Amino acid sequence: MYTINLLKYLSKQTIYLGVVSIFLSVIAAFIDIYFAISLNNNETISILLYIGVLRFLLGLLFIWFFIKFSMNSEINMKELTLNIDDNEKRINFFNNYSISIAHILLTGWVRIFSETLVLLVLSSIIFIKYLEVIKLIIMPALITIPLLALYFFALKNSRKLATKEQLNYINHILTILPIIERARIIGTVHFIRDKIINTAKIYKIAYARSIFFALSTKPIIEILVLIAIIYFYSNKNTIEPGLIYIGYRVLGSIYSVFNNLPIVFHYEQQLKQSGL
Amino acid sequence: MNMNNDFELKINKLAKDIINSDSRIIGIRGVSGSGKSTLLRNLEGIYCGEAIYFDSSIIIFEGSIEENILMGRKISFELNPLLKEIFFYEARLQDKNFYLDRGNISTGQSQRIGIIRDIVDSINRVILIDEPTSALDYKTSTEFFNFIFTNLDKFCIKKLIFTSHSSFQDKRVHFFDIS
Repeated sequence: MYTINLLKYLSKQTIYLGVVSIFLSVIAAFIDIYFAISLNNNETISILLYIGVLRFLLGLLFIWFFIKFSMNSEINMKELTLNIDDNEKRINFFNNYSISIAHILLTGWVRIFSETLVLLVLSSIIFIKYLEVIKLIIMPALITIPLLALYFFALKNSRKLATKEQLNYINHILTILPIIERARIIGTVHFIRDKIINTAKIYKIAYARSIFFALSTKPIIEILVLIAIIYFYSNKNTIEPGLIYIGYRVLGSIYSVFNNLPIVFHYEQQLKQSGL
Repeated sequence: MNMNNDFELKINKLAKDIINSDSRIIGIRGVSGSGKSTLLRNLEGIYCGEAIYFDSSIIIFEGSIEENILMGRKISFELNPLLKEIFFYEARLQDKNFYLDRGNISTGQSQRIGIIRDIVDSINRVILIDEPTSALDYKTSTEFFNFIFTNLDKFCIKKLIFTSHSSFQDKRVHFFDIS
């Protein structure tokens, strides 16, 4: 993966901030399990409140470390500008790519990694404590997972194409933009405006298709959850309050992972194709 | 301070002489750093809207020759056979759809496209061009200048003023030396 090549450029402090962010997420998952068990054991409201506040403070601490990681990684990436030979690419990297890499690609992967660990922790408690539920969801999962895989394959390809067309478009317009002073003198700025509008057609189609796939992730997951709930109730099952809470957290983590995946795919493709 | 004043006086006097000249084609000759570009800028100010100044930078963008020259102006190659003559000695550049990018034309070819772009639709204005043929050899620049001088009316140029540090000679041009 392209991101792995970037890790060596991160400072020790940035790596430390990223690791602590992931660590805090995992601790939060354990507190979630503790909260779920307390719910099932009918603990007092004050105990539940203490756990809730602890969970909230841990969430804030995670956000603080996560932001610090994001900002530090941006500056680390900006340092990389010194390694680029071409001036245009250098400016583009300093202004745009360094920001995208830090705030979207690297933070995206940290988020995916931390939420996947959270999923593992939460899934383990479901597996241990609610084995019956696992049995119930195995069948729907076997059907939906290949469909999801197919969906993400299409999504990744659409991202690849969108990135290619986006770069073609940007590079083409970048060759035209320097002529703007001449266009002002001879009174044809409209020519450059027309170029910006008219040459965007292919890029717009490819990008719209890619955004469609990315935005469809949420409704697709929502419908799958609805089907799973209907399936669960149609088999005359009841749900414990702790399981509802864990289920809610699991869905949140699944959504974070699937929401970030297309975005990081997109930026990985963009960086690969930009030749930086 | 005195040197600056002397320089300004020299530029102002030359500008006045150029404006008063009856010649339609004026060349300003001088070595690098002698003030040729300053004089052109000065003239642009004096003509006040009646003149257009084009510096020596030539930018060719990705697109056909037609697009690079016309840049959205409504003059078609078919209607204006004159433009076809410009690249009379280079077959591939005669094709109006030949797609230009940074790598497939020389600096000299870029410069010729750039000059034609600057003068093609002059709408009876004074055209001030800085070092228009600096990237051309003597033979090519002579041919090219000859082509422009012959077609001043077709390009609707009221007066053409250009700078040059080459030894270019043409009896149609009134040269002013700046040194």
